[in-house]
Amino acid sequence: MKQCERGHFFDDVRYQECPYCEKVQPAYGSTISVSKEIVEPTATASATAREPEALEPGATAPENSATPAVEPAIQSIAPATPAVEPAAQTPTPSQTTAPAIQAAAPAAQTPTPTPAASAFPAATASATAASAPQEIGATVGVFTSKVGIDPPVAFVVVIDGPDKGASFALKAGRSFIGRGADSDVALPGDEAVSREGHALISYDARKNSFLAASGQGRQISYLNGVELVDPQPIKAYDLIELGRSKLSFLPFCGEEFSWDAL
Amino acid sequence: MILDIANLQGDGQRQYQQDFFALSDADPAAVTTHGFDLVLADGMGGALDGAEIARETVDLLYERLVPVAPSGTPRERPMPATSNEQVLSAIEEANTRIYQRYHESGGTTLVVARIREGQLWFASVGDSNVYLRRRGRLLELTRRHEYLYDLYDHVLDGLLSIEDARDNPQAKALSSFIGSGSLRIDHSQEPFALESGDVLLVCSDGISDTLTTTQLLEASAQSAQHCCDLLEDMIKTVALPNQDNYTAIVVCYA
Repeated sequence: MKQCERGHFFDDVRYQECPYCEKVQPAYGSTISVSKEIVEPTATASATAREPEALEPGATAPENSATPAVEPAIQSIAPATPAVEPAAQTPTPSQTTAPAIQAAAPAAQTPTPTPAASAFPAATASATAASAPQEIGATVGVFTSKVGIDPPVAFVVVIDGPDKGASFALKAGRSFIGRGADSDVALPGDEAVSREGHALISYDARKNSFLAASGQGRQISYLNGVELVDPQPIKAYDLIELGRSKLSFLPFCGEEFSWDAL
Repeated sequence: MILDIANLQGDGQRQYQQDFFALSDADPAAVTTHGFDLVLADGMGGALDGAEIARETVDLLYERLVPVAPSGTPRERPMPATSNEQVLSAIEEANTRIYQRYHESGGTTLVVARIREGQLWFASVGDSNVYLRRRGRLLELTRRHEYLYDLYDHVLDGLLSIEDARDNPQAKALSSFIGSGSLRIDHSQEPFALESGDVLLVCSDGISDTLTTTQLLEASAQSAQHCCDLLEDMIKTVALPNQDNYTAIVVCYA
């Protein structure tokens, strides 16, 4: 047995290259399964939630905080079966919640087809069965309802830092810059950026102008080299600095263009 | 500290392999100096997306955990995650990247485990498993982020029968995964001291949903490679018509 670049143990007499690494790009018909059989593809219609099929996009933009909460490890015996047999038999309670629903679907987006078996995003983020079913109609911004779609109003490009080269389209309203998954401008590689709302940029549709503002946390942001305290107007090629990252701002809406003037 | 390590992976009845994993150098000298790390991911999403997401996630974590690959190649941009907190940050980073790209239309489970000087640290997201065999009993060290486990809480409260819990159509839905807008990580708070004779079994649910506790105990009573061989034989004997991809990493500690 030999270890490859990723540490996989493989029989280097049988295989010239690591069969586990090679399998990432399945070459139709030519790779030999490591389990020593040619596996027939099956058109499984089972209700397993883990099928590799098109899945319904889960609810995005959760209203509550997206801070990853960490749980202590639980040590218990009897992995597959809870040891307790409950005495009471109840009919399925109303606690079972519906599958994840697209919470923030602007009118222009076509929902992807949902096979009945798809269920891999969970019912609710908190996943407690007792919580209320998710809100079906999400809040639609005034701008979006007026314009009919949720188009870009500006762009942000990361010009320096761990996520250099990343670019983001901002929508009307407030856009949050942070390290967390659901940030509008996400800087996952920069540990010095707050998980949520380190800074934000807002587009005011009434004034057709932009403001940059600091978030609520302890971390400081800079606009054109000056500490950002109160909301400040922001214009083309202005520089926002936070953590170890530098962002360049480029408005799309302004004197030259606005969506609701079309 | 002496580690006996082996791995197992199979497609089951699926067309593609969407599990992915990586191990640090198992050479006894390397283990003595650096300890041992493992990463496992069970990807989900459209046909090839799941495999791609799992691979990317494993590679991102592996780069942080293992500054030098077993072949001896150092990283181009070393950003080693020396502390466990840095590993958690790396997991959050992977989550953000996958979420930004796929917006929950794809994702992966993730298990990271590290053994240093006889102590174990682990983190898990999703429904892969971290088991420890100790003195003839199987301990489940992590809690699956699966709706079924939340329903089990209600079973224990007497509100729901086990059958209703298991028959719930949403039972297998994941309540956390890499690529989620609201990530939860189950991880050890303090390093966990290993005893001689302990066996760590990290596996995707292709193993733990097919085999029983008794079977896992039986397999983990063997050496690492024999354990892997026996796990595979058992899976083939059960011969589920829709057997999922299966991956196991076995570490026997002495």
